[in-house]
Amino acid sequence: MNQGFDVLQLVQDVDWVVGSFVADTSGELLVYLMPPEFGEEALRRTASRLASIVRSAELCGVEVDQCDLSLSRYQLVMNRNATGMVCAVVEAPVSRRALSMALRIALAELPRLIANLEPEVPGARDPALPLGIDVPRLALPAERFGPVASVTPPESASLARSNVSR
Amino acid sequence: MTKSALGDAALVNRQTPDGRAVLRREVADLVRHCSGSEARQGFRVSAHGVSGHIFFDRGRVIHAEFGEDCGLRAVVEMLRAGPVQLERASTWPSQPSLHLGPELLLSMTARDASRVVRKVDLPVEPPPLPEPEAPELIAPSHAEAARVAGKRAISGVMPRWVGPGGEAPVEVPWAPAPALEARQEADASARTEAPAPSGTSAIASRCSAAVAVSRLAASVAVSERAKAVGRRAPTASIDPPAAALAQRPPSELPITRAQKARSRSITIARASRPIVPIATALEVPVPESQQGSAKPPAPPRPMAVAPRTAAQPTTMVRIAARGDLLAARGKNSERLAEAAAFIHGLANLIAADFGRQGRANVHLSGGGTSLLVARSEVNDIAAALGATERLTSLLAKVGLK
Repeated sequence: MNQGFDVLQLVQDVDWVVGSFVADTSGELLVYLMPPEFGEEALRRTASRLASIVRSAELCGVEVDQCDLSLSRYQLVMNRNATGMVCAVVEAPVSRRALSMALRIALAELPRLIANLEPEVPGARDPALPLGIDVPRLALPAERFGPVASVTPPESASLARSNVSR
Repeated sequence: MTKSALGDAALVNRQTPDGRAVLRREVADLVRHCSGSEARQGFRVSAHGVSGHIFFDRGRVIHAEFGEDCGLRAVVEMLRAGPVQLERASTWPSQPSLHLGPELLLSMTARDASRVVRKVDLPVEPPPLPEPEAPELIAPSHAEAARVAGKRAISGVMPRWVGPGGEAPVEVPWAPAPALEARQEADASARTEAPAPSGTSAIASRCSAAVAVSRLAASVAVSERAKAVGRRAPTASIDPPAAALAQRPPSELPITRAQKARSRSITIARASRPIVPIATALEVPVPESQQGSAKPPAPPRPMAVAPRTAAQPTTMVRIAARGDLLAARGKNSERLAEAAAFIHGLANLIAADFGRQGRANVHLSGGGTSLLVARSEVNDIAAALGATERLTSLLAKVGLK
């Protein structure tokens, strides 16, 4: 396993799977393996909206671990656990049993995948991954809330203040 | 309810806080009145904690919903509900889901009509035959025999008998010649009296003529044969062409009823299947923290979900595209309606992001419970919350199973 990224390739190997992506429980897009016509921004919005849908269902008393959306030609299938959620975009003739098993395996590998994502520099490419189009891509941090304010540690702040006074 | 709606303002029982009149009557009375009206009228129907709507346009029911039922089932359930509360509906369906004409509607409002709706009756044995010494007691118009034949015909068990010219033949092979002649004469007179009938009225006229003739012919034949042969004579219920033809209903009803019976049997079959826990089925290894515990894992229990299913009645709501609550059943329906509107909006946005405008159905499941949000056939939003097993047929209907 290449840091858990190949679980998406495993999902992709199921017939009639168009693509897949992974998000954390809050709906933050982490990694995706999708055709180029599905932009990263659209996937980011979709992951966030899926998390909202899950939260609203949980308010109705449903302990959601699976979500299916029928979008005319495509279907979006999401499996989730306490670590995050794995989503697959499929077309109707897909074998639901094969897809379900592939998503279970992906969910089981999800903690390792997320653990490998954390120390990485955003946007860095794993040299072990082969070159090509259909390679799982890391999602950049969310920019929908604008730039994050810089935070200065207290020690550095006091040091800077003393430098200024001199 | 206004005076123009039912023509009897004296029957108005009370008024809602916003001034709308509420009437308590049977839906059958409403149907009888509105089937003769050319106006477009919609009513909200409430009874026994279940509510719904029924809409008329030029005497036809174009849409109905009642609790979790929609379409013809909803009409039947309304007719069964007895006295209901009626008030003028403030909405109108965006597109019709039914085309029930006045003839069919009025036949459904008959007091006996709802009896044959629920199930498909199997053929039953005919009543005991009387002795040949009393031929007048074995007339084919025996009440019990006619009832059984009618139920068979409506349920679809009896085959259709169609003649070479597209009309119903009445073959009584064992009938003597005088009876056949009488039948042919009456048949010809029936054709000359009604030269070009069409639709349901044509079938009804042919049926009534054929019934009269076949009964006459069969009674003569049976009595004569009983006298001549001296054995037990058959009754009219054994004569398949006459019985099926006599009670053949319009072609809309059997199809709908068969579908309902099929969907119910599927639900029952799935519910009775033993449910094995997922961990057992997939042979998931037990974590080390749990391996040391003295308590062994519980064996798979069949019907493990059944008590939960029984304890959780399905909540169903139907809301308009703008969020108005059209129908609701079950507890926490308000919260479900809010969630359904929210989920439906988000699902449409996801569909738009994927380049797919149109219907977006959503199914969320977990712990044996499901929440389904789907676009109904009249572009309303329908949502159901309950045990997954109970929603199987709905999920299959919207293509999510």
